[in-house]
Amino acid sequence: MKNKTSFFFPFEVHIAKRDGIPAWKRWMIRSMAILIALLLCALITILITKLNPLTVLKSMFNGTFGSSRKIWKTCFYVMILLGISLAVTPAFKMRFWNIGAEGQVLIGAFAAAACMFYAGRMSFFNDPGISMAVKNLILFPCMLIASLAAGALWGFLPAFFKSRWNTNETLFTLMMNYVALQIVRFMISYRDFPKLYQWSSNGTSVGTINKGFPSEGIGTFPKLMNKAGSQYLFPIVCIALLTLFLYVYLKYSKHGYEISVVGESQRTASYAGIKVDSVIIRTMVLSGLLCGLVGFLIVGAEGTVSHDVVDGRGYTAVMVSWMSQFNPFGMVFSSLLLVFMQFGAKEVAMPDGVSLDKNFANMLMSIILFFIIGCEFFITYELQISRHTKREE
Amino acid sequence: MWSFLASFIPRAIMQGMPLLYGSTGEILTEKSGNLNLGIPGIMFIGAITGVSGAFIYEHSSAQMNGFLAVMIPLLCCLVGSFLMGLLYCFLTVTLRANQNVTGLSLTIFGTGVAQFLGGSLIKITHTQSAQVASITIVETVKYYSDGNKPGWLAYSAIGIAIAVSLFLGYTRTGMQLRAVGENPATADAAGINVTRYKYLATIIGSMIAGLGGLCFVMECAHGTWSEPRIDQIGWLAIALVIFTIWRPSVSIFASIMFGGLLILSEHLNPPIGIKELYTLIPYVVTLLVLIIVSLRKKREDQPPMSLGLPYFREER
Repeated sequence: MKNKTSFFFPFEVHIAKRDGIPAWKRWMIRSMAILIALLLCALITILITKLNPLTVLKSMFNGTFGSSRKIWKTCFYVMILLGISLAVTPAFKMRFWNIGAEGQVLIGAFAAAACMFYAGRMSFFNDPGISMAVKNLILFPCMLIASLAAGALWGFLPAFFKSRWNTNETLFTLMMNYVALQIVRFMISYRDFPKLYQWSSNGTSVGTINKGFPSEGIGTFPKLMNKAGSQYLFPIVCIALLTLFLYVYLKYSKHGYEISVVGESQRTASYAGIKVDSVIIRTMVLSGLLCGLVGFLIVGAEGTVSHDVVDGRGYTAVMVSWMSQFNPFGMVFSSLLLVFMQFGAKEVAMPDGVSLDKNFANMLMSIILFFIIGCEFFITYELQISRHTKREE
Repeated sequence: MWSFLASFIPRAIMQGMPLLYGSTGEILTEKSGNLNLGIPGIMFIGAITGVSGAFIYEHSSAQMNGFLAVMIPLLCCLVGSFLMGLLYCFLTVTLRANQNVTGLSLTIFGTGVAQFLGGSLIKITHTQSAQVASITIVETVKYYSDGNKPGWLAYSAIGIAIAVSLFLGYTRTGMQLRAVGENPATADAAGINVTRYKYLATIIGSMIAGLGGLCFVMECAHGTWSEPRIDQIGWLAIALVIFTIWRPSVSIFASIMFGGLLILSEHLNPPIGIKELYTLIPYVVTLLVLIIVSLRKKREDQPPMSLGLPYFREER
């Protein structure tokens, strides 16, 4: 065999798969990677802003947790990102590359908003004699069901074609994102939605339902003792429960077990008597349902829908899910970190007036992810470095 | 009608060329078995590095030199997209990371970097209207498009697409590359260096895609940077790969068609909103093609067999 070592690098590197790795070592490798990534991010931030890192950190904290309104908002967006990440996780665990969360959430949100809109045109909902609670009691289930159905449909289609004809799901779900996006844009700007502002007493912006008036609004989550930001409480609780549910579902249920077997190897699964096709469809419908639910929660809390209501979170969620190794509790921290960076970056202003923004946060976030993706290699394989300069064959 | 076509077709060609670059690059990449979802990010990086190069050149020299005005943005763009391709390959081929996740993070990374730098460029030049960068270059150097007819970048796109098409179909190296994408284990056994092929195909593919970003900013956007929708172009380019069933030569016409659909609404002046439905067409058509291709199961129409799958010699 050829001797590949050189004068400058007198080692031979051999890659071998590890037989197993103790949990502490695995987490040590991961935390090392995250640490290096964070240091690199800090370095980039300092180089670009030329600010004291503590000042940067302080303004980031200020941007995220500076006031009670900001805290509510941060919690809400952490939960939304967490919710979408949870929703894509079952599919990912099955190695079904669903990158269509963006579209699934958007169409879910749109369905909920459409319900609000059509309810707004019915005389029943405009009757001042009927109390708000009754109206909401009727409207919320309609919105929820519409969202779930829309999300599930967006999840079902790629799964159906995948299981029947092995259509590439990555590309399919990707296209479905844009189909959803264009439908929403079309409906907002053309069909019915310009008239939406008639529904609220004095909101005027196009494509907005009750924006700015959630306390009077029907179909938006009620506020707790009229405190600003407390309409976010319901979504936060919902997603917290969802986290628990998904943890149990993936870890202890029969479905969860089937998902991981299919993910390991479709052949093994079918030899073991698992109906792979129906598992794929069932899991993707679940994924779509959960995405639809998140869409409903967004619309219910914000009282508005627009084409960028999801704002790339569908793609970010894929990264969150991957970063946390599909562990729902890990996702809580990953989402918090990402939202902290996104909201925090906006507060960091450089001396020359240029402030950091969401794009900067996305850049740092993907650097962290590159390290996490990369470090998996060192968990699965080990490098055996030897000083041999010659081989004895 | 005639005057409509005379103004519409050159603009459709111009809009289509970034798509053609993107899809040609992605086809080359996918033929090696790498499903690079980082194309939108790579195009963003190609665009911002190219524009930054042009911007710096424009602000550092008083007299424009036509040759340099073409070469500097080109080289900057190629270096930027080369690095992105290298990063993707290092993670997926050497470190054996998952291709989908790597590609997606590359897209988020590229979009973040480009939009941030682009935003900073706007602020550095103190222009409110986001009219920055190399408008003078585009105005003075006649090789670029003047906004109505395609420029040199557009013509090279067609050249590159034909070259890649011939390379894949008729050269030994091209066939070996396809063998790597179909079945790397067999190719490996036949003595083909799988890693080298994957690296080269992906990096060259991403450089071609990066040119698409440059083409979009320098020609379609006429040398300005105003939060361009390159991500949409990038995803459409990936859609084109499926639409053309992995054939760069078909992609020449298909990309012009897609480009035409993108600007059709501006030319037809439909009632507000209907416009969005025109933009919906490329995606729906791509979905249908995807489904039909998988239904017919014709062997030459299928994606490369090992597309998206990692290859480790020890684990086959």
